[in-house]
Amino acid sequence: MKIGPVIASAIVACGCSYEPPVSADLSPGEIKITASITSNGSLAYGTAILSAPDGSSMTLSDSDALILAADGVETTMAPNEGKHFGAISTEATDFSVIFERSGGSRVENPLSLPPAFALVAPPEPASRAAPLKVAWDADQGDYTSAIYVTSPCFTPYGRNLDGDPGEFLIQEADTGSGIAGECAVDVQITRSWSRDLSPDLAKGYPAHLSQVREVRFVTTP
Amino acid sequence: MATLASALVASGCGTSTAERTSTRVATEDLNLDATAESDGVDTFVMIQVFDRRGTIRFAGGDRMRLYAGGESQILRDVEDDDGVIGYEATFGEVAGPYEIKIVRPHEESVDGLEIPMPPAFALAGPTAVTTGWIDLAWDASDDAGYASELLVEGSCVSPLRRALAADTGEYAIHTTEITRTAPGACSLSISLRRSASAEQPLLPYVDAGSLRATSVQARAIAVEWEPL
Repeated sequence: MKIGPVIASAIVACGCSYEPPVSADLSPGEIKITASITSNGSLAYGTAILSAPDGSSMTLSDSDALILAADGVETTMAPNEGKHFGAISTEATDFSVIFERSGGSRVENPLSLPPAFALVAPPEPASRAAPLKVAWDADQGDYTSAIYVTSPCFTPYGRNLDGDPGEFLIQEADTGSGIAGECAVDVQITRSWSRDLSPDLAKGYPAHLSQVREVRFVTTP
Repeated sequence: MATLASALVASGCGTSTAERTSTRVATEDLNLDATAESDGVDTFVMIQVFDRRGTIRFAGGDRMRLYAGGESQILRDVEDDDGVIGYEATFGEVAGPYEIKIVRPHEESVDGLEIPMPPAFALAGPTAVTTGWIDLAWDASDDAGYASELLVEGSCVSPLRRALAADTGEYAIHTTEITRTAPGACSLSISLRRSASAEQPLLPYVDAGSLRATSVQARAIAVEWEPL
């Protein structure tokens, strides 16, 4: 049973104001961080959410900071509606989400993204008379892959891949045969895996780490 | 094919356990649920006749005849453990529509119930794969009156169902699209189902019952999958 929300509800019910715990009042071992980092190959974007071990919300104290770091660059993650955001222009795959105390003590969470890759669209104009192939650098990591195909000309669809084929066919049987004229197609490939954060923090969800690539190309009949 | 009977029973048409016959039921109170499935060799047809109280067995000279592929048969009645009554017949491959006639000596008979079957086809594909694309081919059709679905099953995989937006006569599935549930080699069954549904009134009366029909052309191939 989660005590925090119950206490919060009870306080609200009694008419008192509820103040969520602040990070400065707790040791790192009492703080959970739920983190994610996504890179498109040139820009990486990180999010982090603080919570108490029981899952209730927690506020980052002014004296504490969450930092996204990669390639020797550190950026303080900015709060917005309970989440903290940070972005770094980098091609790096090795990152760290850092919880920093005012005194300078740090809990670092080194996090590596899945291998980078390049996504290649079929040569334009790409005729829909045959399956359209998108290709990328296949790898053998323990990541999962997903592909998402969108277009104004057909209903979007996605596939989860159990392994990395390094190529995908966009087939008329999936898009439908009633498409006329030129049609733009967007393809997004995502590689994801999860990694644990530092054991110096409270045990929480593993960080979700992704590499995302997108291409757009014009198809013709 | 046995699943057809189960599916009809599960449709909720038969809820009464007491034996009921057609002799006291007017034709306009009858409804029919029909399912036909062809595997390219045999076509199995199951029909339930029911009114608002449950399934009915024909009696008093009432009977139902089915015409398909140049043959006709009186359907034989079957009853499950719950007392749900159905009528079944098995034909050879049915290329065109099949027709149901209900002959009733003392009530209005029903004629001209024609139920379309999706176009027949042959499915071709590899007999064995390791990793990569599984290329499938079949006879395409311009007929838009049915839906096509691809199904991959096997003891080592999670079932994969894929509704096709167009029936182009070809499709490729990559082995990475199939989620494995067990390691090692295993046998896959890859099937393509063309299914059509139709509903029509049993009689040209406003308040008369209806015939609901689902017709399926299904073809399957076996593929041995031995991952690298």
